[in-house]
Amino acid sequence: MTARSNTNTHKGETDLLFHTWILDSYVMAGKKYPPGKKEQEDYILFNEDLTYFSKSEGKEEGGTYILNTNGAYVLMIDKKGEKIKAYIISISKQSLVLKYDFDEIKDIEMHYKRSILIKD
Amino acid sequence: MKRIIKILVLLLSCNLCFSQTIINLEIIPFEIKNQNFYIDKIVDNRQERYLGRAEDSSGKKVQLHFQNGIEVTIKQFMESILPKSSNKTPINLRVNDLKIEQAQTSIDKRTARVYVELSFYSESGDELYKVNHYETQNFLVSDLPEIYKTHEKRVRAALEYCLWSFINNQKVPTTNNPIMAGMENEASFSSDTPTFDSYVPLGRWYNMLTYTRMTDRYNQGWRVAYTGFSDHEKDLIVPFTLAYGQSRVKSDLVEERGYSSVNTFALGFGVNGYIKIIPGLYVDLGLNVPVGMELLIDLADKKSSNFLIGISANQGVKIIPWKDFGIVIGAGIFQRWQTSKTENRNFGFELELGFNF
Repeated sequence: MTARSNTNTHKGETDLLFHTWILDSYVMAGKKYPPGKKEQEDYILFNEDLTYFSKSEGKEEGGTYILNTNGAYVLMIDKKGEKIKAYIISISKQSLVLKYDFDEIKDIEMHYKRSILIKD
Repeated sequence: MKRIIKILVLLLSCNLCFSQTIINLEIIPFEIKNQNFYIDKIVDNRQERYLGRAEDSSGKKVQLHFQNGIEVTIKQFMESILPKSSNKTPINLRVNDLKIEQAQTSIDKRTARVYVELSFYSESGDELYKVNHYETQNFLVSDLPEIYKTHEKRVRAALEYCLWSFINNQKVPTTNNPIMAGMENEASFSSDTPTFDSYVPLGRWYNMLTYTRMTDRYNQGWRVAYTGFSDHEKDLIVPFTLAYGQSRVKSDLVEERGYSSVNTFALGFGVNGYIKIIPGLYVDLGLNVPVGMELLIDLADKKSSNFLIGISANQGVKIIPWKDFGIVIGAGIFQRWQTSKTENRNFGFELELGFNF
């Protein structure tokens, strides 16, 4: 899962996901952009008990998720039952790159950094 | 004659051979640990024995199969995730459906999808859980090779989804799912089966080239159009249309209304779509609001302008008897009211003929 071409997430490496990830930048058509003003504190926390908490444009949400190793994606299901699918492009100890499965942003890579401030 | 028949049969057989393609599931080193069950027997309960028809990287339609059959292939996949052990509970799996699909679903997008429907059974034959799932991915229209290459990955992802769904539903203790941590170590199966929608086929894309003749109270004209739409049974089908047409006033209507010339510039806002009645038969409905300007020159050569706004509605039917290639027949009527100085109320009908591909 560390290489972009290798989209298989293997057990052991999936443990890397169980942290708080702070939105660091967007990458669109090879160009890097910083998060907008409203997104300065955006994050996702993936717990080992398959619950998650996130902050997106200042709005906090939570729910459960399925980590699909073969499909290399995280399927987040919020409390209203709405599903958000995010493909894991790469993951390492310090960084997580996701692509959300929405038509509007499907070509944008969301780069997250592992939090050192928030206790996981 | 016999020789010709033999050659035809041989050619047909060869064509069938070439049109079948084997796919294999990649086994990746991944295991769901701390589970107290494993998948023992796989029963193939599908109506259709092939996985689906898909276009290969060159665009040729092929029939997809697993090399070792569905039972062996899924068994190997499940064993890698949930290894067999004497202290674990055997669970049997019935594969009710497993389909690989792909279709163009918009003017610039293809959708690739795997549909799977599984039933989990205890050794005694009690159904513990039933689940279905669509594993869907969208691609650009030009991404055929990538779609073809990734079918097996979507099969794996769909199977894994069903497995997680079963695990979460049964609340089997696991380090990844400690919701039930501290509960009994035996799998505590519930009979709570979630409801799920029945399978809906992935809509195929239709391309149509049509010629239409239109006539109304004041005008007659024609139109040629390209229309593309994704066929489905849910909601309104919204087509993509590019059209060019012309119309002429039937009589001396403009002069009768006291003008020597009328030029109309208008934009239309509204909704047009099809409702599928049965395969190949669609009701065509539309509601539009034209907004624009009329520039008029009266018989005394005096220029004036008129703000144009109105409402128009159309109703019709479209018949597409053959899915892959064939004729398209359409007929419809329309009604229009607008703040025009020359034709403020109008109605007419149109006939359409073309082909789909």
